[in-house]
Parts: sequence; C-alpha cells; structure tokens
Amino acid sequence: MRYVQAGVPDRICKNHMKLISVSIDNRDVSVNENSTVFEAARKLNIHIPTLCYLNGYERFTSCMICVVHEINSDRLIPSCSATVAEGMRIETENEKVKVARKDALDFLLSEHVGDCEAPCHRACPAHMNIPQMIRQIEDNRLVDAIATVKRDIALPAVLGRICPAPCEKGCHRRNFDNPVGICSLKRYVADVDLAQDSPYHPAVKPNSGKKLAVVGAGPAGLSAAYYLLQDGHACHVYDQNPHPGGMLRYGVPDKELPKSVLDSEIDRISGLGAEFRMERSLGEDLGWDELRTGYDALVLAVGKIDPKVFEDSGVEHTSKGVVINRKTFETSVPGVFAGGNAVSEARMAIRAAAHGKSMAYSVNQFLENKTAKGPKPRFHSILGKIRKDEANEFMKEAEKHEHIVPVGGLKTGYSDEEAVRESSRCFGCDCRKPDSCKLRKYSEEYQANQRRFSFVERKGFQRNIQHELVIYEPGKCIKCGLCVQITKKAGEKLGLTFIDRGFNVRVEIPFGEPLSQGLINVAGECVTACPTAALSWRDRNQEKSSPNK
Amino acid sequence: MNMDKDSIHSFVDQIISEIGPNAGNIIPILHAVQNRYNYLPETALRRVCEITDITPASIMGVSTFYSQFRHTPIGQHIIRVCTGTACHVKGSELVYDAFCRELHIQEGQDTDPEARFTVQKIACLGCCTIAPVVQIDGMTYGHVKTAGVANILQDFLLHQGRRMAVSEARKILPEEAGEIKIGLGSCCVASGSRRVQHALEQTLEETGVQAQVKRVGCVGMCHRTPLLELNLPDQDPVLYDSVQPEDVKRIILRHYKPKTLRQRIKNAAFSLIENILDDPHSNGFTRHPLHVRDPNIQAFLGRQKHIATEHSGQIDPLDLQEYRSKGGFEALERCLADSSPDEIIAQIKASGLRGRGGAGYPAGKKWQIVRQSDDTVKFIICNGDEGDPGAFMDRMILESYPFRVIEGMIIAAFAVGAHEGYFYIRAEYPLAVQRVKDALKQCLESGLLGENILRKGFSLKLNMLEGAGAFVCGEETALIASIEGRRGNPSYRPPYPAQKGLWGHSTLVSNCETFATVPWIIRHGPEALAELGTSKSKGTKVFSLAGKIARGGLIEVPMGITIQEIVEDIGGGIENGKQFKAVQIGGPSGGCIPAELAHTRVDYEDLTEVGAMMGSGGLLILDETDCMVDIARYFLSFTQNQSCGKCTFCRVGTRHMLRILEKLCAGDGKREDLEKLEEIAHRTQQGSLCGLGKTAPNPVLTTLTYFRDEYEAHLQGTCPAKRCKDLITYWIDETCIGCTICAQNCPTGAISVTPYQRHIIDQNECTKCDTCRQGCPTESVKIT
Repeated sequence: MRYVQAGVPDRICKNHMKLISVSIDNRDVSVNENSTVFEAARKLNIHIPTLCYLNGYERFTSCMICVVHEINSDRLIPSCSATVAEGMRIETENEKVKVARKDALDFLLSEHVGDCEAPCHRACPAHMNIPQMIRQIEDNRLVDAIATVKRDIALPAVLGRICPAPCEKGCHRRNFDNPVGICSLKRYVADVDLAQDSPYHPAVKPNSGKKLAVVGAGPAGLSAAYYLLQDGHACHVYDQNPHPGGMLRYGVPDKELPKSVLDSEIDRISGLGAEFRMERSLGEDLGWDELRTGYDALVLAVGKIDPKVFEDSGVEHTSKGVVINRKTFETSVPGVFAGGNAVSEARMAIRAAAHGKSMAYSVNQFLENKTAKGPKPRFHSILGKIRKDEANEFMKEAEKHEHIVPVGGLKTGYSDEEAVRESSRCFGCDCRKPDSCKLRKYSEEYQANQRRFSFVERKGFQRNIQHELVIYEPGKCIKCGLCVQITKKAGEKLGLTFIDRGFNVRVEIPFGEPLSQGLINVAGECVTACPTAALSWRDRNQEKSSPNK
Repeated sequence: MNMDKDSIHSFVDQIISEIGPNAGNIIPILHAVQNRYNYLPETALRRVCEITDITPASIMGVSTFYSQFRHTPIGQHIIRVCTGTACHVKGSELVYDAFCRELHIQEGQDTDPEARFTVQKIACLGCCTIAPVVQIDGMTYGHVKTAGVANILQDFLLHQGRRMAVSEARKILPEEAGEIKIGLGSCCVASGSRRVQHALEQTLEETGVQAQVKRVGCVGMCHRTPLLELNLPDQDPVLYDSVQPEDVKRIILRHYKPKTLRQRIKNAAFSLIENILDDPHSNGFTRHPLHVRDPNIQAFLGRQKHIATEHSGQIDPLDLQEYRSKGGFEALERCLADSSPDEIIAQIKASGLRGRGGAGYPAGKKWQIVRQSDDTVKFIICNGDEGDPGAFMDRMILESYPFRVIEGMIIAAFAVGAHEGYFYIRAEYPLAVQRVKDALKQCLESGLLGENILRKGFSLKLNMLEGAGAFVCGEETALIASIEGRRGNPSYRPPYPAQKGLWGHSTLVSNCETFATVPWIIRHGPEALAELGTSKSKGTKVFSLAGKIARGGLIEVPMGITIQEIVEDIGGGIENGKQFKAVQIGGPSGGCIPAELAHTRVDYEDLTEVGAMMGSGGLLILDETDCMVDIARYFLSFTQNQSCGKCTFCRVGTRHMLRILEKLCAGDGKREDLEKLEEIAHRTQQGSLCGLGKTAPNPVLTTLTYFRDEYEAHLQGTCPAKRCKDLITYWIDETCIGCTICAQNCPTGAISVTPYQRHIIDQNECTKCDTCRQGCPTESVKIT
C-alpha cells in the first residue's frame, strides 16, 4: 500500500498566487487567495476575537467566537478558517455577530467549572481580595497583606472585630469542614500593621486642587475620606459628635471594639490630611449653602437621620432616606453623593464602609471627568455550591487541619504562627488568570450570561497538581486544542491529547501519566497559549509578570 | 491467552510488519490488536508507539475517539444490543435492561460478575426490519423480546463455536436441475438463513435431489426472511418466506422427486411420519408458498424501479461471471474504450444524478471539480460509513452488489483522473466488509483493477478501510481525517475535498449508492435516468423501510413518489392495524413528517421544505404508540453521543437539548423549557461547524412544529403514546384469566402468582420492562 504522508505541503497554486479583494467593515483590502478572513482583517488592523486560534498553529475552529457576517450570502462564518473570496463583504462586529458570539460564550460558560473570583471575595461588600491577603499572610508578606486589605477596607482593625463576615459564609472550605477565619486574619494583618513604628501609609496622588466635604464621620464617611484623600483631594469631615467614628464609637461597646483601636485607625486617616470639623449638625449649624458653595463635591454619610433635614437641600429623598443611583451613589443634585445608612438602613458596618469606598470612586470620577460612572462591572463565572468530591479536589492544595481558634482568645487575636496555619487552610479557589483569561475578557465585552443555559448537574471541579510549575483544571478547558498542538509540534515525548469525544471530550496526558511527564519542555508555552485558566502557573506571581497579557 | 509483555510485543511487532508502520495505519493497527485481545492492552499500545511513527498522544486520541475500541478487558462474549431507531421504537432499551438483569450486571458496570458476557449498546447494526436486534459475538438475533433473553443466552451457549458448515463453493449442475435461491443479506442471516442454507444442503445430500443452490444478496423483502426461491424449469418461480430449517426438507420434497427408488421410499416414510405428527393446530408446517404473482409481493415490488439494486435477489453477490453475464462491467469497458473523461462527466451531468449520501450535491459537478483540479495526485473514496441509526441501504448495496459499486468507482476514477482510492465501511458491517474485500480481490485477479485495467491503459488501486464506530465520519472531512489516521473531527469547508481532500489532494468522495447508479446510466444513457423522478431530483432512491410497517425492507423507488405511496402501497401500511402517525426520514439529521403531510414527494427540495431531509435513505415508520418527544430525545442522545466534541455549539448545544428532552420525558419539564429548547435548537443549527451539528436540531424542531401537543401533554405529566416510563403505569384488567404467565415472567417479582384469579402488579416493584404485556395471551395488561 502506497502511503502519502500527512502534512504534504500544499502545492496547489503556490507559485502563482492570486490577489483577492474583499471588503471588511466597509474597508477594502487585497490579500492573497489563501488568506483567511481573520488574516485579511488583521491587515486592516481589525482584531477579531478568538479563543482557539493562535498564529503559527493549525486552525482548529472550535470556539466559534471568531464568527463574522458575510453579507452577500447572509451567513455567519468562522473567520479563522474561512478563506477570502472575490467580492466578499464582511462585517466583523454587527448585531448578528455580537449575538452569535454571546451565544457561543454562553454555551462555553455553561460548561465552565470555576470561579473567576473566590466566593469570599465576591461576598465581601467592600470586595476585598481575600485570597490574595491570605496567600500574603501564608508567605509572611504582611506589608503586602496590609496593602491588599487597605486597598478596599479603610478600617480593617475595627471591622476585624465587629464584622459579621459575610465572606466566610461564601467560603468553599465550609463544604469540607469549616470556613477559613477570614475576618480574624484581616484583623491580624491590621493589628500587626498598627503595632509597627510606622504603619502602612498609602501612596497619595499630588494635590488636585479640589476640595470636598464629607458629612458624617461614621464608617461610610471615614472610608470615603480615606480614599478621596489618596486621590489628592482636600477633605473636610463634618460630624455632629465631639469625636469621629459615628456608630463605631457611640454604638459599639468598648469590650467589642476598644476605643484605642478605633482611634488608631482614624489617626491613619488624619495622617493623610483629613480635617475633622466636629460638633456640626446638618440643618442646624451646618447649612446647605455653606456646603454647596464651599466645596467641589459633597459626600452625605450622615447615617440614619430625620429626612426633614433634606427638605431645603433639593436632594430627592423618601421616608427611608436619600434616593441615589445605586451604581454611582449620585443623588438628584449633581456633585452630591450619598451612601451608608443615609440611603437605607443596614446594620453591617462593612456595608457602610463599602459604600464609602464606592462613593470615593464615583466622586473622584466626577471631579476628574465631570461624570460619575461607578466601577466597571466585571464578569464572574460562578461555580456555586461545591460537592464533597470537589472539596476533595481543592484539598489537594490546602492543609487538612480544622479552623484555628486563637489561643489568646478574642482579646489577642491570632499569633503569627496561628495566622499562617489558618491561612494554609484556604482552597485557593480563585482563578489563577483573573486578568489574562480571554474567556472572561470576551464574556465581559459581549455581556455573556453564564446562567442562560445552565446544567442541573455540572461536571465536577478537578485540579491536577502533578506538575511542579503548572496547574491543570480540566473544568476550565474550552477544548481549543492549542496545548495539544503545541506539545505535538515541540515533540514532547508524551505531550497532551484529546480523550473521548462529544460532551465528554477532554485533554489528558496519554496513558494516564502524570502532568509532569506530559509537559516537560513547553509547559510555559502552553500556559501562555491557554485562553482560560485551564492551564496556569502554579506560582500566581508568575502570571502577573508573564508577558503579552 | 498469553498476556505477558513479550508475547504482546511479538504480536504487535508482527502486525506492524504486516500492516506497516505509518501513522496513517493507526486504525487498522488498533483493529488488529483488538481482534486479538478483545480490547487494547496498554502494553500493546505502548509497543506500537515504540516501533512506529505513531505518538502516544495520537494513539490515545484516536483509540478513545472511536467507540469500537475498548481500553479495558471485557467478558468472554460480547452482547451488542442494537439501539438503532427501528430497534429503539421496538423497545431495545428494555431489551438492554433485560440482559443486564438476566446476567446480574451491577449498576454502572457492563460485564457480569463471572466475566462471561459484556453488554454494550451499539449505534445500529442495520438489521432494522427484524428489530429489536441483538448480536452476541458473531450471532445475530432478531425480534428479541424482553422475556426471551434467557432463551437467547441459552441458544447462544449451545451453538457458539459451531460454525454452520455451509459451502461457499458452487457446484455446476445442468440447467434442468433447477435452482434454489437463498437470500444471504445480513437481515436474512440474522433471521437464520445460514441455518436454512445448512439444512438445505443437508437435505439435498440426504435426498439426493439435484438442485443448484444459489446464494443471492438482499431480496429487499426483509420483513419475510429467510427466503427461499425455487426455480424449476418450465414452472413459475415459487417463493417461500420466513423459512425455518425444519421446513426445508418438506419444501424440497414438495417440488423434487428423488432419483433412486430407495430414497423415494425413505422419503415417503418421512412424509408419512411427519403427516401423522402434523396436527394442523400444532406448530407444524405453516409456511405457505408464495407465487411471485402474489398480490402482496406484486405491491411490494411493483412500484419499485431497480437501478442501484438491479437484479435484486437474483444474483450471487460474489459471482463475478454472473455479474458480467448480466451486463456488469460493460459500462466500464465502454467508458475505457470509447469515452473521454469529459464525455463521461457530461453524461453524468445530463443524467441529473445527485449525491445519494444525503445533501444531494450534483454528482457531475463534483466530478468536474476534481477533474479540473491541476493536482497530479487525486483520490477517490466510497463513503460506506452509513451511520444513520435505522438505515441499512448502504450495507445492503455493499453486501449484495459489491461489483456494481466497484464498477461505478472505476468509471468515476477514470473520469476524474484518480489512481488510488478507498472503501471506507463501518466496522459494524462485517459482511459488507468481507464481500467488498472478496470482490476487490476478484477484480484485481481479473484485470478489472490494478495496473492497465482491461488493457486500456488506466490504472486504479482500491483499498479497504474499516471505520471504528463514529457516526461523524460519514461527514466527508471527518472521514478523510479518519483515513489519515486521526480523530474524526470535521473541518471547515471550503476547501471541499474535491479541492483539497485526502492528504491535501483533490479527492472525490461519494456515497456507494451514487457509485452503484453510475454503470446503469452509462449503459442506458443519461436520458433514461433523467426521465425518472422530478424536475430537480432525478432517477431513483434506495430506502430502507423499517419501523411499524407491515412490509419492511430495502426498496428502490423513482424520485417523486409520495411518502403515502411508499407506506401504503409498498409497505402495506402500518403493522398490527395501528394508526400511521409519522415517518422519520433522514435519521438524526432529518425530521419527522406527520401523516397529514404524507403527500410530500420524495425529492431533495420538497423534503427539506417540510423540515426533514433526504438523508441517506432511512425511512422509519411510526405509529400511534410512538412518543414524538421520546423520538426527539432518542435522536439527541444519539447525536450528543456521536458529536466529535470540537465545536462549542454542537458539543454543548446537543447536550443541553438532550437534558431538556430528558426532563420532559420524565415529566419534570416546565413551560419555559420548550422555549429554551427551541432557542438552543436554533442556536445550534446556526452556529455549528459541520453537518452533524447543523442538522442535529432537526428532529427536535420538526417534532416541535408538528407534534407540539405531545410536548404540551408531557408538561402536564402525561405521555399520550404511553411510552415514557416515568409517566406510565402498568396494570391488569378484569379480562385476566389468571394463567400466571406474567407472574412467572416478571423479572422483579412485582406480580404474585394467583392462579385463575386476576393478577395484580405491585407498582412499587414494577420496573415497566413490558415483559408481562408482551407475554400476556389475553392482552389484559394495560398501560395508562
């Protein structure tokens, strides 16, 4: 039997290549006849999104994100594989295309097994990056840890003592034994910091020349001031009481929250230049005219007060409080923002603190651009409640011991050693590629919806830790086959391969060998090429420093 | 069997030296290993990688893609339960459950505790007219009932290893001896025609009757197999249907008088004893001869037009002389001698022949593209990977007319300029594979293949490749990937294989029926074909007619005939007097056409218009007891399982549709599920890369269009056809005579033995296996 080997070079018409003219997004381009629509678009600097295509590798056409609309035939075609034809008219980003891309993303997300951000991170009203803090504690990098904490929480030592910890309710570890003691760890980080000769002092931007008033020195007002000061704005904090702290000072018993702790954290805010103007009551000795004329913006963090106060202000309100835009915290009056219990009553100080941070974000946008938009919404793939078998997968990277209770009790909090031991219980369930994952990026761009097509019973989460440098999480694989191609091209002895077919298709190491045997020479290339976090660096810091992301 | 490393290594070394070490040979190598060990031992696979170009990634990727390959040892015998569409509607899932129960196979396992039997579901064995079908090793059992599985196992163990000694060679006898034709298609064999052949040869031996025994291919009347046709000189041919081995002697003696006196006396004695025993009420001789002019046979055959199946039931599939004597290879001779390739292509074009594989692309146009390619190396491929469950046209054509397909291929190869080609045939069709192999060998020996064919200067080499259990490989780009030894992932077209196919070369891929039609066109002229059919669909189409039809079988009809005519006139209507509900056409890519639209013509465009498609030609007739939601679920579970898993829409979309359909069948569906189902169906149709994904939603969409009321009923928790297990209850009504058969048969003990009293089914124990209903002599078991 005569065999012609695969990969015989394409000899057809190689020598006399024709040029083809096509129109892409109403711009004409000439390319040679073997070009794909994707390549032709590149020539016009039009970047078509794709997950499965990588220059230099065979096109596999699996993700179907790269579809474009061919107008003449009114068909959607995968641009990575469709070759150009004379007179073709392509639109790369019209409604039809967007819908199709969103469809593909929704389908991919329906089988995506993983959290973009850890559930604790999502559950935290202030959206603190908890897993990052925990890893910094574990690595004994407490200076980094306090920076992580204070990026989102202005009063961590305070909240570390009184927060009801919604974060811990989300913790996946609770499905194995009990949640990680996140709140105590946060307190530990803050306490260690406050005990330093020179505690953490965030970088402050140059003076913006803008001045604003924060009315109310409770958790919302203090937080707003803390972040606005870092943005370089001058900040006057008004309060009716003799000392700042609001409910934290006047509503929480000393045994729960020692005044000294509160004072220390308020000192950190004063240290950034906050000017406290105490014993001034809104509507009494603090008038709307003074606030409106004297400041570039106004933050109302007055807590639960009699709505009558707002009557002359022009600020729209109801019996429950000030009416705001939930995204931007803007009131009906431009430049006036409100948050915390002033808008609706809630017991949690962390929620008020979170409002303070968010208000600061919007106020800063307003002061810089005259329009507040609020933070850009991020896409979140959500794993949901995990099963026992999945908890066991996560346990591969976590220590087995149960929750550590501080030996010194609530008074002292965690010792250094206890904090590290507690941190080692964390599952590290947050994605290792939260910023470089293309699936997340496009899901954000096309407003994909993971719950549009949801499975009652999803595939189980799996984590392969057999490789020194690389982690493989099959549930995040979109079957693009790039890693299979890369290992094949590089001549890896075992490499990676597709196993099975249909919905059960998956990437594995041949003969069930360990991952370390499959990826000997090109582990890094595979991690970089992988469009999701199916393959990622074991060391998360490597991901941050990796190029072209 | 010796399973130590050295012995496995030496076996692998030996097969590699026979098959060759190229990466493209991976599938034949895997077949060889599995044939030997019954599964693929890892030691063997590793050895293959050591001594060939095949990489571990490739051998694991390929061997896990194709469902024929197994990676774990199995029981001594393998029971394949066909889950093709015809078998499905006749209860194959219950049969599967019954085998598992009978063999005490644990949940989640496929092999019995003693490792004697492994039970496997298989896509389709193509024996649809005798559904439900089960194959144990090489033996096929048809019309299987749940209550009969124990008997089947017993029968198998009794007969296994005892190969029927039937002669393949043919004695040449003078013409006056007459001829006895016996159909030996797969359906016939499954119904026992090998045993009949054995009995026939024995009878002739014993009685000394001189008659020519002739095996023929498929007669088409698969609903009445095994068939024996007696052709005596100066007499009308007589056809016996449903013949059993014990009937043979009697049939022979009715028509032949033995030569010697001694034998005549002996035979008379035999007849006498038989007659005494032959109580008219007993299970004696009940087969009656059918004259070919019998109105039923007339109706079955009358509307048909045999082109691809010319000489249906008349010729020995492997008798090259006979094929040639009936005009075989004349077309080829004519082409090689008198025609230029362009003239041949012009004739094919003029005939209007369109691809019979399903999509109906004009054959002449495709030939021309390959002809005009300036590629110096071209290939030709016969697509015999008939994967549609419930269809068996390709199997029958390959089994019965291998020479005709080969002739068509040689003509096509000559026209397009290809000098090498492949038969790609499903591994589930061993008889077709064997016959084509034999036919190729004979052609090569007779100068019809190989170098300088018929001394006219044209050369062609044809190879045989077996598939390995992947429906998607019927898609031409996937088929090519499979021949190249890769996973059968389809790729985006264009380029079409005609432009850039096998190993990057221009390749003509056509279905075997298309090739089988070619010689006829050449012999009769293109006008003769163009005269038949409709304006856009010319000629004839071969269909396999199965399901709830009175006369199922293989038929070839002129295009333009209506579905109604096929069902009523040819098929004799619905079996058992039930109500005609729908016809499923085109398999998993097709749709369900309701009885109201039975006036739809067999025409590529007309069928597409009603949401179905011609497909390769499976016609499955459904009656009132078939649940359309269940049919949709059945097809989605098939496509979901057969999807290659590459592109997002097909991999995920089919799975979502299946989940929703399962929910509906279980009575857990919600109204929004219907909307979601329709939405996913449209998304999958639009977004999938290849034909499998693009057409997979068709069964869902057509049933939603034509049978929405049934979906609505499932939302209310009822299954109007009384098929969905979770929505029905079995009970016994007052007509029960207390015969206790149901109680004896019940595999779960849900019915207590209460002689002469009405029996009662304990609902907590009942698994709805249907055994009681099938066995009840008074039809007292009801379903609500």
